[in-house]
Amino acid sequence: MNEKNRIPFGLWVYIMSDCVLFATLFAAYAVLHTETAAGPSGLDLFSRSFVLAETLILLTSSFTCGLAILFARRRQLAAVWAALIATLLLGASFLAMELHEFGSLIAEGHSWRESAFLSSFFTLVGTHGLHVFAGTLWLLSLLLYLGVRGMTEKVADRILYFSLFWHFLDIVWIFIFSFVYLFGTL
Amino acid sequence: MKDPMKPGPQITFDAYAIGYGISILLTLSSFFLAPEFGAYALPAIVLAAVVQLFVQLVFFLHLGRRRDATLVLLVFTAVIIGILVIGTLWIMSNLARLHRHEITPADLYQGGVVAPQNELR
Repeated sequence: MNEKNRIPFGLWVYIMSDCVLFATLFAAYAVLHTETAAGPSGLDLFSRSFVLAETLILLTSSFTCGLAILFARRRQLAAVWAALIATLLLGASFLAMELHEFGSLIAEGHSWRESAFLSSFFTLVGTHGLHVFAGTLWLLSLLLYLGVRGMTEKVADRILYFSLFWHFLDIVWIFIFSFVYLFGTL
Repeated sequence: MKDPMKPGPQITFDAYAIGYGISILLTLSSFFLAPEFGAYALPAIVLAAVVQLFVQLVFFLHLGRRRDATLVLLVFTAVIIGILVIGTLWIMSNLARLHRHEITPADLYQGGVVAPQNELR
């Protein structure tokens, strides 16, 4: 394994360990999602259209992130800026929507304390949201670096590494919207 | 276009566009088509999710065109996750079955030994 490949390899190993983490949270949700403590279930609390919007936003941000790598390879600075800022805005929108959803649930009294269903829901979806938040911070620092150093090979590599993480987050979301929100509202 | 010294697979616009398009179709079908399938709604959603997983792995993460250890790592992780999730569901359903009926010590023991009907099978 040459010098250059060590970084993506290490990042992949981390991402895979993160997958295992999410798998444990999914398993816990699978076991606990019926324990609603005589309170509301997913059917009462989830909004499909809201989740569809979140999903399309995150998916599009994954797409624009991919475009950023493409433009970075071609050293097209303005296009890289546009793609990364689009990714950032979409990611931030996703987070805003998720915070709104969590906020209104808690305001109505349906916090993680109400039932095992809600505990496992907030833990699973909240952990994913935390990862997205960390990703947006990473992206912000990337943009700063891009602004200071310009479109170099190093920056192109770093955009690639960020994209691995960002794509992985969208992949985890596929399973969240499928198993938590869609299963929960059928 | 592709520098042999540079790590990483060949990246094209088409890959991202196709991946994005198919992912949208799969997402929309999970949200709108699958619920119409009645008893098959859940399997349809699972199928769409798994397909979208592979679509994103191939078109966004360029799996299959990589020459690094990614595929090996993914397969290994899948095995770990399989053990974890299947094991969890197996154990928890077992516990649910065994703990379905409350049983007091008086019920459990008869004459100082575990009653035959309460022997674990």
